[in-house]
Amino acid sequence: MVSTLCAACKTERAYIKRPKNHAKLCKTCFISVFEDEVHHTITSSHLFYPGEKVAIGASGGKDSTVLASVLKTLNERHGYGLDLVLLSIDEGIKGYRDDSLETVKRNAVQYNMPLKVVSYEELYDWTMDQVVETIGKKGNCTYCGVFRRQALDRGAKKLGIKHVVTGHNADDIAETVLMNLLRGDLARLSRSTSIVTGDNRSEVKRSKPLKYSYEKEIVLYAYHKGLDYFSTECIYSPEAFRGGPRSLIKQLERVRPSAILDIVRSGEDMARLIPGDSPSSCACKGQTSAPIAADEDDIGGCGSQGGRTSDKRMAAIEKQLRENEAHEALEIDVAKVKSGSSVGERDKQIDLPLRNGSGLARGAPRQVLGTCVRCGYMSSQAICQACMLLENLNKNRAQIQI
Amino acid sequence: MELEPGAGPGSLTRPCSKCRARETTLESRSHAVCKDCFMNFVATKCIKQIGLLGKETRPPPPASGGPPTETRRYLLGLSLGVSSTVLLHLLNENIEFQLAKGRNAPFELVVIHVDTSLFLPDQNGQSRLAPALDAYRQRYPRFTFHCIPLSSTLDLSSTNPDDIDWSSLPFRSPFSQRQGSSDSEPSPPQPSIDDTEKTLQTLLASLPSAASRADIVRLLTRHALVSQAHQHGCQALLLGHSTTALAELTLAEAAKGRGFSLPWLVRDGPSPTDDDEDDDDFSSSIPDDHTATASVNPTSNHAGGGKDRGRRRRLLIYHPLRELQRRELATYASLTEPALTPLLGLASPSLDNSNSSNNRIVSHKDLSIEEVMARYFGEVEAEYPSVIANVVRTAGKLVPREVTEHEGDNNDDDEDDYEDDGETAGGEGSKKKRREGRCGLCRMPLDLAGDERWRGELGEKKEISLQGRKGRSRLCYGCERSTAG
Ligand SMILES: [Zn+2]
Ligand SMILES: [Zn+2]
Ligand SMILES: [Zn+2]
Ligand SMILES: [Zn+2]
Repeated sequence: MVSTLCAACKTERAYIKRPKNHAKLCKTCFISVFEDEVHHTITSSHLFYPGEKVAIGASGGKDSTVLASVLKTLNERHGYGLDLVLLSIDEGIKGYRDDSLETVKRNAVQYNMPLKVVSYEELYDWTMDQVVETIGKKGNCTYCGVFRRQALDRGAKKLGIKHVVTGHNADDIAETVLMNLLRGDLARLSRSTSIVTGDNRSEVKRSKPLKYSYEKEIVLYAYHKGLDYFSTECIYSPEAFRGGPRSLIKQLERVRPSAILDIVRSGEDMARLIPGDSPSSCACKGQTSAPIAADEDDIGGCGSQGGRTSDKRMAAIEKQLRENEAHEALEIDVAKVKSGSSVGERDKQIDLPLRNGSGLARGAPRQVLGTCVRCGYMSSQAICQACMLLENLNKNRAQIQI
Repeated sequence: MELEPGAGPGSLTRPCSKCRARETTLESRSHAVCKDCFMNFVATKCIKQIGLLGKETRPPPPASGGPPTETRRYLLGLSLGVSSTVLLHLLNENIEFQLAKGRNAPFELVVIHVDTSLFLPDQNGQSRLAPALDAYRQRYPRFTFHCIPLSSTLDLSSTNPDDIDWSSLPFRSPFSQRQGSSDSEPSPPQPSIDDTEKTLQTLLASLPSAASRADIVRLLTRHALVSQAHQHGCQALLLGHSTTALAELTLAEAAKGRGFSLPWLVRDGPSPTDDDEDDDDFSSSIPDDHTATASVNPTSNHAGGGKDRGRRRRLLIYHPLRELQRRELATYASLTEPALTPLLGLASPSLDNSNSSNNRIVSHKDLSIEEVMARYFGEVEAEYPSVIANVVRTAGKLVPREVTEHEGDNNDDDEDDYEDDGETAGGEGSKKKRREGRCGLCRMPLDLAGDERWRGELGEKKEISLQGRKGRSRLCYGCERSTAG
């Protein structure tokens, strides 16, 4: 094959074909383009303010390692004036965290950033190994995900930090967009596309600077920068994601590389079409910071798994929906059909499906957010998910002890 | 399995869970039912929607009083696939049912097939179309069938805000010289059909991928149907989409970055290209602000409208099969007497992609987004029917946006246009504005706020131009993605 010149500098040989748009670039230009785009995301969404103390949720995996590396680079290059800290969660999984924590520790040295490790054991009195001992491998990723979500916030709070950034990438966001379309959760769709989450009452805000970065480019960036990251996926998450939205996204990406970003764009736009939602369209003009969505979404189970959803997840949604249907009014009674099938007689039918953009649309139920009565973490229920899961676990533990 | 003749209800081995009078022959939505009950179930789901539409399109009573004299007239987009064929059959049945009761036919139906055979790779040749349509005509003599070439959308000189603004397309088109640079030049003579077909072929061939071509062909097909519906004076366009097809459409459009215009595509209701101030023909007698303002204008706006293509009846777009799964329609097609299945073999589907691709192995670069979705939903339809229905319900909850604010201007300011533009022939100004507020290709409202926010995220130096080329319509994000090289 004849070598092509880099489309950006036009001097070096191009040997990276960007997954995002198939542009052919040299290594140096790819790295700088990748960083420039994250910089654009950060500035156009006003993610940070000078002097802000920011915790990077660090798992030792590729996403968070790249995030730490890029933030360090941009912070120095553009003078963000950020005080960056690595925040790591120790789930208490032997053999998994041991190695990945070692990676994060090396990262702390490499990037010259302080590292704070918070363990599930100190936060919840349970390690993941103990959870698995109690409930088995099935469904434990739920626990892991729910605990992790709060763990970062609680850890940040301990450090007096009000902003946590996570390594969620464009593939993760696209997946949650499709996932929430499939399960019909518009409120969550809105939250998951928002670059900043956490509401005014919450003490810690979350953001996703890699929201527009392709997973494949993150891998390329890590590779070409020679970053030190831990690549084994969580051993308790053997479920393949076949049949779920993740596989759909990968297929779409093969057909049209821009599809991942196109889905993210669609998700953001649809979020503005949700009835009752105030249009918070523009993050870059006239606002001091990006629109803040309430609560964190439910991206992902285990950290290094990102938002990967499995077959089982789809099946669970189907089951839930069927239960909902069963509670709703019965379908048209097939036996009564023949009598009523004239146009004229049907005129009495109410509930027109004709809507005209205004108040007629049936609103998606808005979630009312409060705080958990047990732990004070924000929650749409009286008791948050983590506390519910803990209650369940503690019951089990009590039984075993008896 | 047919029941033994003479077997009474008491001797049924597995009585139908609905009527209890006949033997169960199939399972429908976890109910064991007989064929009759299943057929009724499908018919009811469809007729319910037709009933709702009937109410929306009820003709006004004549000024002299008495019952309405006008008849409803609908247009059916017939792709020759399972879904639209079943819809045709059900509509025919509905009319026969009414006539048998001594009533008038509830509506007239014009059937249009848009011929895309020249433009999509997996289509059978045009040669199979004519015999296929003849078979349909024979089976349903009540209706008139038309076959319209996709290139009928290629009206280069049109200034109608509902028509495609071909000059908005970024690729070098074969007619760019003829079009000239000045908009005031007289329009070129309309080329012959053959020429237009070739022109469109060249145009589509210059699109960057098979996925782009499929997207644009889908869009043009829809456009052709809408425009035919107007030309035939129809009040509604009926499309055969099943729940499954609507779910596919939802996800496919989302995957193509068309989330903003998605609500317009999946819900039943007015066509997004409808003119607000013209919709007093058939809608309710309650005037809204727009019609009230419009009627301040000289009545020339209303009179003489028969020939003015800018003044149209309100067009509703309905999907009467929206509550039925694709596989239910396939079952239905095999159970009618005689079965519809032989009809379906005569030409391959094009409009709703039903079973067009499920069994082919092709390379990714030849696949369209629609085909990827069809494959995906083909896999999940049987296992997750509720998920599929839920996708459609969810998309239906989104509130479509009208043409968005344009630097402080928005729809509410429309009345100003009448004043500003004064003499310019009954709202030329607002017509122009409507054209500007819409995508030059898909004609959906533009999302200026979204485009502004999004700039730079694509990782391309070439940003989506906010202004559009000089004097040209802008493209929406989705069309920009499909046409960008
Ligand atoms: Zn270069
Ligand atoms: Zn709690
Ligand atoms: Zn029955
Ligand atoms: Zn468009």
